[in-house]
Amino acid sequence: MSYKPTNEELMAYLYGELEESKAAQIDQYLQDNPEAKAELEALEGTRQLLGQWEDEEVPSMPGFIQPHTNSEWLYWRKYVAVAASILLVISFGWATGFNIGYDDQGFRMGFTPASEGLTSEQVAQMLANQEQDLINRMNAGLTDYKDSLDFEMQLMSQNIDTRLDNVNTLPEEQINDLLNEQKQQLLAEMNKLNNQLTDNYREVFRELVVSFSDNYENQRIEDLRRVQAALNDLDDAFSSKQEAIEEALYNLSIEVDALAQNND
Amino acid sequence: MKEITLMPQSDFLIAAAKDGDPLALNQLVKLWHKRIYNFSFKYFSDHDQAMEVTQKTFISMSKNLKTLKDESSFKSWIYRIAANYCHEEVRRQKRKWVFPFMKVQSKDDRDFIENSPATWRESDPDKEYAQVELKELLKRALKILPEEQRMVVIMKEYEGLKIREIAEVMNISENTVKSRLYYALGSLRKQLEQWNINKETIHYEL
Repeated sequence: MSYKPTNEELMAYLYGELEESKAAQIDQYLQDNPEAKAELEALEGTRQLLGQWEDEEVPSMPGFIQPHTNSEWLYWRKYVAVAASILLVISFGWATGFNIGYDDQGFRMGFTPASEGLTSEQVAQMLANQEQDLINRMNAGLTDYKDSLDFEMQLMSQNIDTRLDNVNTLPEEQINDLLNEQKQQLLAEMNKLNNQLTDNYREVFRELVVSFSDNYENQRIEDLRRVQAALNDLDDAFSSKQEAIEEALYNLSIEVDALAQNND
Repeated sequence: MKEITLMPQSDFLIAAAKDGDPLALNQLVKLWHKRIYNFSFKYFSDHDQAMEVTQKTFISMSKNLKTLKDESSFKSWIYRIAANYCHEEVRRQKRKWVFPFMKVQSKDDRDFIENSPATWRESDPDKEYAQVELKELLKRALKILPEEQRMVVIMKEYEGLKIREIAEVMNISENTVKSRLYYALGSLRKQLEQWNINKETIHYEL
């Protein structure tokens, strides 16, 4: 059997979309070729598995807006809207008394009937008036300030004069007395200070002597203690030496005795 | 597939919709809505993207229905619109810097989420679970396929288009459709075998 269908033909066969003569040919081929048949059956099995996935329920239908049938209206709608807006603005303006005007004098608008504006001369006049007014106010203010300053200075000079008069009326003795008194006070103060200072020195010196004698006493006691210790050491050394000598003598005597016995 | 065969002959509806009858247009949307949604849902495995494509398809349909010359070619015409929007959506997703929340979850989390059935509608939980499981596996298996193969398989297996119609929709030759089908079925079979899924391991009657 030389015939071998192509993969494409097998697919058409699998889906039943092959003309009958070709299909019969493939039937024959599959009968003769069991492994090709098994292969195709496996694919058919896969198809059946795929078929197990059922359709999803559509969660929501899309809202579908019907197009407006009156296309004439669609075209004119925007112009009508513009006209309505203009009409609305006009009626609103009329209701609130809003009005606008324009002539060679300029552009004007307002919520009451608009009147002519001021001329430039009038404006200049108004500005000049205001300036003059300001200058007058400033002058008046400065004058007031100067007056009050003058008054205060006058008061102060009067005060000074009365004080000077008081000073001039005191007699000379009284002044001398006052000065002497001050002098005595200062001297007494100085004395007191001096005494205090002397007392302080004395106290310091006394403390110095006391501490020196204390120190000296301590030093002496310390020295004595050292001498005592040295003597003790000497005593100990002496007695230990004595013991050593005694022991040595004893040993010597034993040795001498032993020698004497040997000699005997 | 069953719906396709049961679907009433809609040529007269198409003709009426072409003439601008809003009722006919709405009826047409109603008829095709489920098919287009399911087509794009199987393509993306994602509800939002499927909805997006479905809506765009019907908006484009209502706008361009007047340009459709032959009412009998409506089916391939509307699938072509949907397929184009599917391609566009894929391109858009590639261009867009996407940060899917699923990526934050670990693989185990994702498997758990994907495998846990949301509702138990049927009385037999075993069957229901098997159904959900198989559906998830089929979803994944389809997703692994290259786009052009996936589209051909969905049109053939789920939308019941003839090979000739698919060729028309995708603007390719019938032979290309057949060879894509062959490779797609082959890879699906291999993939399902790898997961040990076949007629015998599915616990309920086919």
